Amino acid sequence: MIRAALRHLAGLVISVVIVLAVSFALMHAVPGGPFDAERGLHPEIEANLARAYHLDWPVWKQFLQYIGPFNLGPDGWLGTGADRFGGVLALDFGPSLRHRDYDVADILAASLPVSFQLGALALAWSVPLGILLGTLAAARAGTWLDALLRVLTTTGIVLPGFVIASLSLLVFAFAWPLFPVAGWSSLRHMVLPAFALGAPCATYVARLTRSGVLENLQLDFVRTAKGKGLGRGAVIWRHALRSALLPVVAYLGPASAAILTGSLVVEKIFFLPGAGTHFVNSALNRDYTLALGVTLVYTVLVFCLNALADLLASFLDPRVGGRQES
Amino acid sequence: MTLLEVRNLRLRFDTKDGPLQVLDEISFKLEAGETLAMVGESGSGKSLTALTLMGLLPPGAIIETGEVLLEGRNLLTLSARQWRSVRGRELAMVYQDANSALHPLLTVGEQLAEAILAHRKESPSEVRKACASALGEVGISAPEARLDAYPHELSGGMRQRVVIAMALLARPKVLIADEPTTAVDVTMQAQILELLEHLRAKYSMAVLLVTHDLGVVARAAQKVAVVYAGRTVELATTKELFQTPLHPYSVGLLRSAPSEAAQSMASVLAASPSQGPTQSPSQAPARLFSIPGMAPSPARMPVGCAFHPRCPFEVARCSRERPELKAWRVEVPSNMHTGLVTATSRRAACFEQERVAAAAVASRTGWHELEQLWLAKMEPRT
Amino acid sequence: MAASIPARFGRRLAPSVALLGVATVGLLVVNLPRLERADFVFVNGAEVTSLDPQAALGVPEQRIARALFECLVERAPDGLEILPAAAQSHTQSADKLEYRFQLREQARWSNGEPVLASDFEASFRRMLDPATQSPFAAQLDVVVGAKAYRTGPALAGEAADQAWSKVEIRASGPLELTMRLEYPRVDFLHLLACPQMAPVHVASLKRLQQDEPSKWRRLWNRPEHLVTNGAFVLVERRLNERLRLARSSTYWDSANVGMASIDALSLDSFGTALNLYLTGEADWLDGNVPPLLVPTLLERKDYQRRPYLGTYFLRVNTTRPPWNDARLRKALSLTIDRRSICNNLLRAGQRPTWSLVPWNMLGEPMRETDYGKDVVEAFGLLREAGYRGEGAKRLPALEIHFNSSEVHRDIAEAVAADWKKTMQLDCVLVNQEWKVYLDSQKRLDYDISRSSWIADMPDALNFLEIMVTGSENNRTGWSDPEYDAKIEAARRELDLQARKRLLTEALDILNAQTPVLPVYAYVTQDLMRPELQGFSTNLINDQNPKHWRWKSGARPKGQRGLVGSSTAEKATRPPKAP
Repeated sequence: MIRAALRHLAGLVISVVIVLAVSFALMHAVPGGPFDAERGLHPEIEANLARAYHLDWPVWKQFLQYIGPFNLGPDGWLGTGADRFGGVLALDFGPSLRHRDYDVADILAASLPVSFQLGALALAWSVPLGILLGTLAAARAGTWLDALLRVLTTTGIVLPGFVIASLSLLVFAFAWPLFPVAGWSSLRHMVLPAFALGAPCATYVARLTRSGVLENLQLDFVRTAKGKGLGRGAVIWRHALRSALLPVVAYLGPASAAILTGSLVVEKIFFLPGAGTHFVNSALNRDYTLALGVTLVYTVLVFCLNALADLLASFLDPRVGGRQES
Repeated sequence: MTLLEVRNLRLRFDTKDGPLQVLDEISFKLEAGETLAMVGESGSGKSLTALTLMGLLPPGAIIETGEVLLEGRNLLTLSARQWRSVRGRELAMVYQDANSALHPLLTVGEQLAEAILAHRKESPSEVRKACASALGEVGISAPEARLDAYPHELSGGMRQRVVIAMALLARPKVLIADEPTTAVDVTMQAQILELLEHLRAKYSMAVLLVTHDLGVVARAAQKVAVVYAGRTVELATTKELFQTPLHPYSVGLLRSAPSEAAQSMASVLAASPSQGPTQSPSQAPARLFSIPGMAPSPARMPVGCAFHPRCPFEVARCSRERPELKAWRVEVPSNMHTGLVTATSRRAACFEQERVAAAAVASRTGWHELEQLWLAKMEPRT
Repeated sequence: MAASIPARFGRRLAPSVALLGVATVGLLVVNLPRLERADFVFVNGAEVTSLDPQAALGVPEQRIARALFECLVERAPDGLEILPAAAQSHTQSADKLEYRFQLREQARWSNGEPVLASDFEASFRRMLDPATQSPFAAQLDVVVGAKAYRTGPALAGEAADQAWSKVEIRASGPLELTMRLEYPRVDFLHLLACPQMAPVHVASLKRLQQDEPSKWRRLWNRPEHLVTNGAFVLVERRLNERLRLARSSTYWDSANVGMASIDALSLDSFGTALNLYLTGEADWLDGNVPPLLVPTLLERKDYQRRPYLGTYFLRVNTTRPPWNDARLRKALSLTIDRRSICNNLLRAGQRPTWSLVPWNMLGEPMRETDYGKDVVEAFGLLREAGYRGEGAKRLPALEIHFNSSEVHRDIAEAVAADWKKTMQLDCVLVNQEWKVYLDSQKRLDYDISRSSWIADMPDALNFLEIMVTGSENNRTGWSDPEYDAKIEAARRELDLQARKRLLTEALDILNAQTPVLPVYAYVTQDLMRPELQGFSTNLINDQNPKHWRWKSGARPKGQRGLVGSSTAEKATRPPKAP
């Protein structure tokens, strides 16, 4: 267990370094800069801005400056330029170039909770429901219920998030005004976004569960369970479903990553100040520091979520890890 | 009343390519306290019969005719709910592969407990005590501790014992053991068989032992049902079968048993005061015999007797008519005594029983001739 | 060996615990202080880049700056004349070079301190200081010494004061501010009315700078630190969500401020904004309505459109032959069927324009529009240039650059179709991401590039200035000394008639040379509660939240649902030219 965790950690460090270096290079390679706008800036002012954010430096130097508290300015290794920001190693992501009144850390601190909440709510309803529906479909395989659920899950996978969001808005905010159309000030505001965000996950979990349960129903241990005189319910829910859950748990890693990174559309439609927006907009705005900060955090998050799901899955499976000496 | 009787069980699968007749008149009787072995090649329908008895048929299986009478009650007419009270409580099964028969994510204790709780309510502590004692009974040491183990933490033999313990927990009247020894090694095999025998005696259960291994039959069963291509072809006591098989397939089976099985057979025969072994194990042919030809697939069942394409005793009517499984009054010459063996309780489905019996008896001194007969049969075809 | 009991229980419970944990995170995170609905909620577009008025580049920023800060003077909400604001009066010297502003005695900062002339002086000084990086610093170049100060070396202490003493922005009394210009400018007061000319409280800024040397830049715009002199104070700021403003109790004219609280939503998705408006959660939204929605909205009486000082145009890269030939550029311009673009594509009342200066600002006569005639004229120009008739050269294919957006694509397609139809000119549409598009435009790496210009001052000069040689907004490679001279003269011309004449002549040069192909003049598109009053209707849509008020004194209740929906009579008011 501990070794697995350490292995994950090493992988994380390597991924972060690679992701940072590649993103940094890419960000600076694409044309356009953070201060380009339809209304052009006076050249002297543009130069002032570039100088203030060290954008006039070569990219490698900017990268070093970004990574660590190395002061590479003309004023020496530990001069005044160091107060700009301390570098990622000092857990300082610097100031945002677009949101001039904020540090990247402020922005992350303000927006990540929203994304977390949204993602958590989406997972909290979609995974149990997906498991429930998937098991029901498997239990009633071949019946109209199964067919109906299959249609539902296929739709859920095929429909893009914004269509689900718009449809749910039409139905539950306009035709039948149960929920507010947008905004972020109460739990009620989160219902539709969590629904729209979780729907693909629910359908995927349902499919995963259905095929897992169906597969398990063919297995010997299910026959054993029936042979004991257990009812159909106990056989399906206790025996067939239990081992079908392992792949579902393993899928939670990628699923939560997809939910976190895929929240942009939902955040936009429902006007939620989450991090998904920054994930995309920072790149569009050439807000180098914010884009890198968000990328870094997402890398770590996605990595951790995957590792967590992995660890949970292997913890749930007694056959993995604690192998006996006998 | 007979404890368990299977009468003319016919079962088919409807597939895209048409119906598959997989069971075609399976019949046998099992009395309380006895062990009946159902023998046959793999694919002959033994396991399917066992599953029919448990009501665990795979989807798509259609029972055409037949009755499964447990103490006179036809199980095939039970509703799903009624089945649940029969399964485990009156009929319990020991599965072939204990490894896959146990749920990998549930502890031994949890799986055992279900066998009790499926049929009656009991307090957790009582259940746990019962489970532990069941484990103890099947010869697992430190049973309390094993309750919290997962199946993968146990050895193969132990797992098989767990499966047996699980089957015993609800004190069934009939224990169906489906190839209980195939997955374990030889020494374990003997122990498991002894255990089954011990438990059968202790709880006076009836045991239906499904096996392809005549050695196992010899060791554990009082009676035998020989199954070929989904059909009971011979019913006999173990001793009778080994002494004078009446169906050519039985002859072939006996002959093809490996030497170790032959040893067991010899010991069975030795146990009989009237019959002495005439063939010591050392005389057994070094070369393993196997019945030439292939067991027919349910999709292409031969007309008449299903065995006739492989049968050295084939006569003309064999490929036209199907011999009934019925009691024949056969008189068979014994090689030791000139007197006749009368086999009244026996049934076999063969027109040429007498010839078969005679040949089988004769083969005890010279197996060679019978083998020649077989070879002669097969040669023109190959 | 046997699994330990805790592990077994852990396994049993882990999924439920995990799920419960996830659900708890989902339910617990919302613990924001609940905000009561503001008196007035409007959709402000993308999140403001900064609350610093001296960095307030875009329309959303300027609206907020207007609410929080007060300039020396302001524009009338329903017109363009200059009204007193932070300065209760001002005088100009006879030579129109010196301005004296008398500040209000009762004016207070939000921290209670009086608004003094020295605050304005410090604030202008901050704006000109290179360290501030204000994008507007150059706008004060007309002030004596300003350009030298803003382009000079960064100085500190005594030397800085020394340098500043050469800039003619001076607190000549506690409440008197004097500014002296290099040359007279007729639009100087309009410039001072722009939100970027509002003062910031430099004293508190300096204090913060000392207390938080590394973080002050980010901190001083927080509600707890920001000191303002406008009608509203900042109560709360939620990034990418909303700015909550409240009526400032220290504002000198607080009694006449209509709204007790205002929410500015940082929202740039029109669909979401519309949803909020339709359900009564927003009271005003403006901006670019997707053309698809225009016909639907036209049936609503709360969908209002007015002329807006903005021009949609195409830049031509005049450094690339054969487009360095003005005749060909003119032909490009003449063959664009603007009427069709406005009527069939945009449909919200946008007006075709053949001039960079929209809405006939210079009083020039309305152009007679006859596309057929224009095309014939274009043919003539092409023939003259040798691209039509016997032995005609073939026009090379053109790349039309536009930034990713449905409307821009539609317009580019329409233009390309016109050119193909009339001149057999092949066009390649190049859809570029915003910053890439800006970059290729800046580097003159295009043939035709979609552009627009929104005036920040109601003045034709504001449009014409961008085409001056060397202007950072020129981006066409076009240069004409005569044009530059006329613009420079117009800048200094005090006589309005003469100035207009100069500008008209410059415009004529521009029209003849056609480095840009004007397409249409903008309209504002507002969805607004009919009960709102004090809403600015001037040409540059310069909203001053101070004047907003509800007709009945309070926000009308029961707004949820489709207010003023399709049953309302069709809005038939077409935007009128001024």
